[in-house]
Amino acid sequence: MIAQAQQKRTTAPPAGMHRAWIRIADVSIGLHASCGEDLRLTSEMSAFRIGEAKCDIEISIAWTERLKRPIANKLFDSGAVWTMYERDHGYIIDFETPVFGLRPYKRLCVDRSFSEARLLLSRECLGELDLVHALEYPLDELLVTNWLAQGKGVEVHGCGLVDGATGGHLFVGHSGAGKSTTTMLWKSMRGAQILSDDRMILREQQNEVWMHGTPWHGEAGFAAAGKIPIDRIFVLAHGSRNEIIPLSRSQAVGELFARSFPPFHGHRPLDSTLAYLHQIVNSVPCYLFPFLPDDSAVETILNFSGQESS
Amino acid sequence: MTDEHRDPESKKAYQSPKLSVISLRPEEAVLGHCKNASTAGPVSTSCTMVGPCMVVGS
Repeated sequence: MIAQAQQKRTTAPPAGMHRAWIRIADVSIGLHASCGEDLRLTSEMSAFRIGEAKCDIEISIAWTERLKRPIANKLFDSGAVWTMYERDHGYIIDFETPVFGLRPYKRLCVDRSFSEARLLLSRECLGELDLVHALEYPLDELLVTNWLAQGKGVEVHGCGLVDGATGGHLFVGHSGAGKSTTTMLWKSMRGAQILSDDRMILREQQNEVWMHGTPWHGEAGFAAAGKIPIDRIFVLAHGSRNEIIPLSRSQAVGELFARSFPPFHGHRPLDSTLAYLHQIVNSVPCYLFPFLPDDSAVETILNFSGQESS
Repeated sequence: MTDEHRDPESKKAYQSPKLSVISLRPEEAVLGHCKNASTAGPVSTSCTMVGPCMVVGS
């Protein structure tokens, strides 16, 4: 299944509203609010700001005096700050922290296609803060991953880099597998451009798999709004020596799924994510890469790339 | 095609299905947790951060 051309939304906000636009992995997001300060972006997200665009997702931002927990069917409790509920024609995602007690400090009301959303900020919780970033993590990432999980892409836990001579390289891995180490090795040895040291988005475009940088970086702090096609994926693991071990397609789907961020609130987004990973591994070979955390790991990949292209 | 016309060498050897164990990390796959000095899991009740997190579930 080839990803369909995106249908850009043309819904225009009321006149007099302030507007801002961002693009993450070719997903255009339009923000509007009555106050320009409500469109403030984090420094990482600012790198993803674009000019006016037709958008895949539109978010209106507004303040409300207080938010109470909704009376609605709870779909998923993350165990972290967010909980998802089902409502007529869409979903509610509430964000709570013990700092503010048992009441949401912000709420995202979104339609079933995750294309139109209303973000409510609680004045009771946030009104006294000097600096409020309405899209602050994990709301931004939740919105994008849920939109992608409609057969449009998948986010993976991985680092993506662009080497001047050998092109794009994607290394996926759990926490502690060596993503940040890998980015620092390639940066220092090869001067590689790092798209992200922690989160990459994969999307199919014109029969190729492209990896996209995201604003959600890791410890090394790399986040860039770039993209490049890839022709292989490496699954990082600690090793006593550098090895490149081909994975069967079924193994590859399993390993990628374990290192991705699928929505867990329903079977449809999970099924879509798995189907998308199948598409990817049908296009791109995947390899297990136990490696040593030194320059030899980079040389191993470069030698492998050289062998494949010769 | 009858059996006598099939090339026996073209038949693949049967491989029985294999089960593989994939390590899942739900505390990483579910968005919203941060990595700090004491935990790599979900945001704990001791978290007082509301502002931007510098290390997003790395």
